[in-house]
Amino acid sequence: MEAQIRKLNTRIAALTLAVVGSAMLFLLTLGTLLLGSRIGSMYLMLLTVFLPGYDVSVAGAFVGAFWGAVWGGVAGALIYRIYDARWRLQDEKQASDTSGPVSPPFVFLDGNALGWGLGIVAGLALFSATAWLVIRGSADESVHAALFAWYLPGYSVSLGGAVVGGVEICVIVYALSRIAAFTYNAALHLREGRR
Amino acid sequence: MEPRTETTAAQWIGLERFDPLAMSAAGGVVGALLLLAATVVLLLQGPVPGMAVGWTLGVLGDYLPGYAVSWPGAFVGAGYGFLAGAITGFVAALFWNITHLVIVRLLMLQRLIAKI
Repeated sequence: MEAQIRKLNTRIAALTLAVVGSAMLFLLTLGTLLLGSRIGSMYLMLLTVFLPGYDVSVAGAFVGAFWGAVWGGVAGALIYRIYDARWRLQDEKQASDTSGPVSPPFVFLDGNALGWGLGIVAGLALFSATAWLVIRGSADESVHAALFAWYLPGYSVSLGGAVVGGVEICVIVYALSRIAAFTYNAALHLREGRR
Repeated sequence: MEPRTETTAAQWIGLERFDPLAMSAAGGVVGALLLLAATVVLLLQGPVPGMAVGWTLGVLGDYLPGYAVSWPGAFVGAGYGFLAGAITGFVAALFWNITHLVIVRLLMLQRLIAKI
């Protein structure tokens, strides 16, 4: 049963992030077209390096939606799997307790597990995006990717920089996840108390 | 405590859902912090000779009226970040819950048909 639930939740997480990723890229592309932002278009065009066939056009918005769904789905599945593994590892008792009324109307979030899930995926994303720029030989021209160094000291468009940046973004996302989980749980406690 | 039966397990899956309002609060707080911090970090580091502070991040002003890489702009950005994060959190939680509900209903229907 546990494995079935895990499989089910992995699919739902993948589907949820696929829809969110797809909608975001679609709306961002259409919004840029509607607003006629030239600079915005220029920056969005940088995505063509990672999303083959993408373009700032109506057709490109659909291609973007497709890629948003693909990457969102992969990220969603990975995040849930890491979250689940981490949650089980740190709280074996809680994870294996399949008896009794453990059915609150809404689930609480485990900040540590969420931090690991989101942090690792974010770190992997930055590492692989940078590594891809290095592999395709456009590292020296990647001035926009290099701007990450403003936020991530030691980052550069190189394999070494990718590792440093990956670790740093992982730490930042971990911290943000802890804040998100804390806020979610506090809001849920507040709402549960009012019921 | 009695061990969970198949029926209660199915109920548990059905009830394992997120509170959209709490999720929108979480998304909002993170979104606000993210845009506020992104702007403040650039402001604290100061301009590069020959370039305005945060020229690239400032492009967000094309999408978010009133936003700029400046101290007042950082707070305007935090407001937008909260709104965007809250909407994203709400939609994601709602979508998760709906998908969960649909899949659980299908599984229960499948089980019911198998019994017949």
